[in-house]
Amino acid sequence: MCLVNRANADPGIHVFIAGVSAYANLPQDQPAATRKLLGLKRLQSTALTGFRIADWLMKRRDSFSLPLASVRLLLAPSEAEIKAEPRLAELNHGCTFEDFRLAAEAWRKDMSSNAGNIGIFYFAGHGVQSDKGHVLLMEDFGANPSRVFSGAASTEHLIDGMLSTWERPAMGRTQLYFIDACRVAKYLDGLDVKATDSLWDTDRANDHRALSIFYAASEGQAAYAWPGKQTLYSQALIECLEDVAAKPEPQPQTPGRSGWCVSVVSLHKVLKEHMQKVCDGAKATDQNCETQRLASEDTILHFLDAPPQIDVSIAVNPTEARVGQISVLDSNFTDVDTLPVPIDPHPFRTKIPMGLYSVFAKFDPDKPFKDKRASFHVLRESPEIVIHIESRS
Amino acid sequence: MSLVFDRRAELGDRPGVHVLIAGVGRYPHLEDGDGPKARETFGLGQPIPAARTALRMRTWLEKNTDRLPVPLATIRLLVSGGEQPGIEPCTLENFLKATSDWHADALRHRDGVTWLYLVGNSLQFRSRDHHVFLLQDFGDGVGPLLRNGVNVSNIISGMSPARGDDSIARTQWYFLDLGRKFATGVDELQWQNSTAVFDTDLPGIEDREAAVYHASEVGEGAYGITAGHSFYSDALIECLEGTAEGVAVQADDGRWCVRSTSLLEGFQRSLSRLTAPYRLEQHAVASGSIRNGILCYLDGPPVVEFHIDVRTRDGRAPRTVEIFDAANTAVHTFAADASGEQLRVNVPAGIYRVKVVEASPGERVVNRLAMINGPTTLRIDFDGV
Repeated sequence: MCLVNRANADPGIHVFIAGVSAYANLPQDQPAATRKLLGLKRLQSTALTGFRIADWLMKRRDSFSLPLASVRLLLAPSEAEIKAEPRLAELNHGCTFEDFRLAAEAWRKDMSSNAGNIGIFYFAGHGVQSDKGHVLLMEDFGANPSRVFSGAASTEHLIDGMLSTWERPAMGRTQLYFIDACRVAKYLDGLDVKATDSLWDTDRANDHRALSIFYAASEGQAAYAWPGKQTLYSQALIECLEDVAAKPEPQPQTPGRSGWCVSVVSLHKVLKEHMQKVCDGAKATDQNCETQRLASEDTILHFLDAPPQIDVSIAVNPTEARVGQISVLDSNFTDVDTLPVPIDPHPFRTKIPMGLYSVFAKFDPDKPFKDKRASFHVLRESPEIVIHIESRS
Repeated sequence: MSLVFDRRAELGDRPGVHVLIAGVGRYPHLEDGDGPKARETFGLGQPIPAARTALRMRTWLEKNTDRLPVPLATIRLLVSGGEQPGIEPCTLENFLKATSDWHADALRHRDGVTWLYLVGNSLQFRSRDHHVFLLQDFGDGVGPLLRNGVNVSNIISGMSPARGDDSIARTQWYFLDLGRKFATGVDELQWQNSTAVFDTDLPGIEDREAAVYHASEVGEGAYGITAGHSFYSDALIECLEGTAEGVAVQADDGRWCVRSTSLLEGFQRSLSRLTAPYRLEQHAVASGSIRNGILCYLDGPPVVEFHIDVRTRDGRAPRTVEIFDAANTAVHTFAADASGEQLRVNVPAGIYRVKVVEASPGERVVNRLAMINGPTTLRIDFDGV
């Protein structure tokens, strides 16, 4: 179903999300005993994950670098997911291979309206990986006992079909694929993973895309979820998009914006580490997300409303210099904070927006220290300010 | 013997960087070659800069051993064209032997690093994973046409710890200075006739950073200057030396370095600038498993251009414009009454405070902070203060 459809000839962001939990041919609780069902069972969080991603996009729709032009959402939720999020009931239109194919076709058509379009694809559900490629399993996977990979789409085939060709010369160049699925090869020995259903013909064409492909797991790994909530990867991704991946907007800054944004590269830089924290919290230590391909030209995805707040510690060295008056000024030299005299506790902890700061330490004439001014770039990776004070002697 | 640099004995069981460079600038059986022509040449000729490019990569690594995150341990070099004494040609047999030895060295330490640099001709098939590097003896008439070619993906897969090689170096850099023009006129499945370098198994757990930097997108060519080097190697060296815009970043310990992600950001800018005068389209692309590892350290911060755009209330030039570094040391004072383009200076990347004093009325003072890590214009508007 299409949540947003404002597609026109102007550049925009076109989103295609598929979340599959209710696999019609898989057992509910115990892994399938037959090899042809690849030892899989139904899922409990992946449709809800698709919903969470769509929900986040809709909430942030006014902050994107281009207008949000279309959002296609295919969900096959479990009963438990509908119970947890009742809005899923009205979005439960299924995600069979045919549903997926038709939505992909419509997404591709929208994407081919302007080379400036940005395409975002997100899949949450079962996936398998072999040395021949990665496969996405749809709701009707396992319906055909004589062909394992019916109801399945090749990830590579999907991505290859989004090339700009003579038929679609204006295909959106910037394309992001988020594959939130397992990449295990269990039970695959001898099976031809290329024998999936076909989404479309693919042409041999030069690839001029700014293409980035993000996998929730590395090859050979499973992707995990908080039962009945969302996948670990979607949690990490949304948190990164919210502010963990924030970076100062490159010059020239967009008027009316905060000067902070999330770009494809800034997302890549922090996603793996942040995912590790999320996985550690869930005790899922054997899942590592992976960027399999990264475009060489960076693209801003969305702008933040304000610089992210960060906990910083401010200290003087030597600690005897705590007796000075410490003023913290922002990049425009506006006072942000004045520390108590003497600084107590030391180091002093406070919360300030990420950015550039000038810190001025001023000492009374009877104190044995020289006044000092220093500048700092306070970022998530550098949350400590240490002012080195010299003695008057 | 392809081994041209060897410090393994000195390093003992410590991790090191193991390099394999293969450059083919002479193909006897391709267009303009000096041997019998292959039954299909795909229109490919002699990529003359390839041999020189391979040799300069060796030289660069040897000169910059101290800047690598772990010491340079080995360099294996195969070059065809512009032959030099003691360097083996890049034939299939030599390549298989060199990659096998390189793989064995990569197994010495999981904290080790590998570099692979390939330059020469190649053929791209429809799947982006089917990219065949052609060796010197390509088209010699023995066996299938693609026998003397190797599928690059097979090399990368074969270096995986998933093969059970738990001790293999977990940081692997692949530089593919190769065009990716399609192999037209042959069956798509012909790529299967290329020679496998390694056995590959079903995927197991991958925990390496294996970043692959392609010189071109699928369908594109990779170019160079006949009397010089490939544009890709020019761009790569600009990046590794930190002179390319935006490529230098600070490591956790504050040292300036080039990381796998920042390299990608700088690569395309350099490549576009280098190819623009020739109106060539060549796009650097990264694939593989890309994290944010350090390729090399820099001697210091890069020097970048800083422009201060001052708008005073009465339109007159400011009385003074001074620049202070993060420790508040004055690093530059512009000439009195400097304005417009005169307020431009090159500074090492870092945090700066700019202090501007308006000439009149009242000699108003404005301070601003700026983080400079690439060409930057800081606008100071007294009306908006």
